[in-house]
Amino acid sequence: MLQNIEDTPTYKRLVQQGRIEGAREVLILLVQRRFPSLVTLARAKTANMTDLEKLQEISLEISTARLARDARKYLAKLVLEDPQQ
Amino acid sequence: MTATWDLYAKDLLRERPQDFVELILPGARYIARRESQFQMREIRLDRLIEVEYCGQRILINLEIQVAKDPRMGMRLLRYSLAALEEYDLPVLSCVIYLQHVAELSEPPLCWEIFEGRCVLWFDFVCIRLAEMTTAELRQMNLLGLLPLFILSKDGKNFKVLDEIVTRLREGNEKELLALTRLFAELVFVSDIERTQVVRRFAMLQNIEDTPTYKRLVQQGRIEGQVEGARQILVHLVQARFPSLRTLAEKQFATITDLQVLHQAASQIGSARTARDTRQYLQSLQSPSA
Repeated sequence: MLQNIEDTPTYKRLVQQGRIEGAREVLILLVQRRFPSLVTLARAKTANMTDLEKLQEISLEISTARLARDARKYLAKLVLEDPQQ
Repeated sequence: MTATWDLYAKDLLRERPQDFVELILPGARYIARRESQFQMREIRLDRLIEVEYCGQRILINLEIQVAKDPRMGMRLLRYSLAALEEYDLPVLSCVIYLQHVAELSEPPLCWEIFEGRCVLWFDFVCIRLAEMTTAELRQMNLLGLLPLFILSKDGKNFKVLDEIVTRLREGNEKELLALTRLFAELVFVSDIERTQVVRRFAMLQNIEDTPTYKRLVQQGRIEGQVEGARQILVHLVQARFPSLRTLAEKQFATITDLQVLHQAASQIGSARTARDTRQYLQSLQSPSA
């Protein structure tokens, strides 16, 4: 039986890459909406992130942060926590 | 005038259907009137190409098939008629089966409504790749068929794959190489085989610039982006308003438009209460709604 294209390693790799991009884009939109001054920082800090869970975590922190100062702190923390950075 | 005749003749048919049945097919019995106005479905052929053969222009309708379709003959007939009506050229229909399919609907299609009376006879070409040998394919000496060698009867092996890759590399056929890689991933499915496939294509440059590969990238990445955005949105809703998790999952599951998901991110991210969020989620319409 021939496989479905969706089952091939290449396709799966692309979908996984897309998942990260999609999650990252949502994070950037959240930052843009709540703390526009931090968008550049958010882009820079998440550019090489490949951990979906970490992106989810930081998105939640951004969406619940009260002050830009707190949000900045969460983003800055990524440098220490994410070995990709 | 024609329309009027048509209209009244239909009335006549409505009044005495059995008489017309008798006129057309003596001895047959009228049962019921069936809906005769059809909503034609949109017809999409895999490929329709115009060729010249023996000084005559004809169309070739080509369908690629991986699974059994018991109504294949009918499908090809419908496609052929649509193409004939559109271009007013004779049509030769062909189906290529990429893998072994049991009990194919063989050509010709023949409607025998009762013994000895064939009211329709429709011929088409049926190519079963899995029943052809690489030697047969090789003999045709057609570069475009090379990526299909691994789908032939004796083609699923790395010796054949290497032959294909070598010949395509020599001809600098990047697009065909990209297609071969894709087909190889569909054919060689065990982990060991896939490692071998990856190794064989790893040293080939520029496959990623080909339309085939770009289309695959586009399709895969967009699917992933949608999934990633959905996942993170559900996570946000769940973490902030746990009681809305199921609603969020249900609503986001049907959305495939990234822009809508991005708008949702802005809305959810700035929502203050569960009530606002519920209202927003409920306002999201699924595409089929």
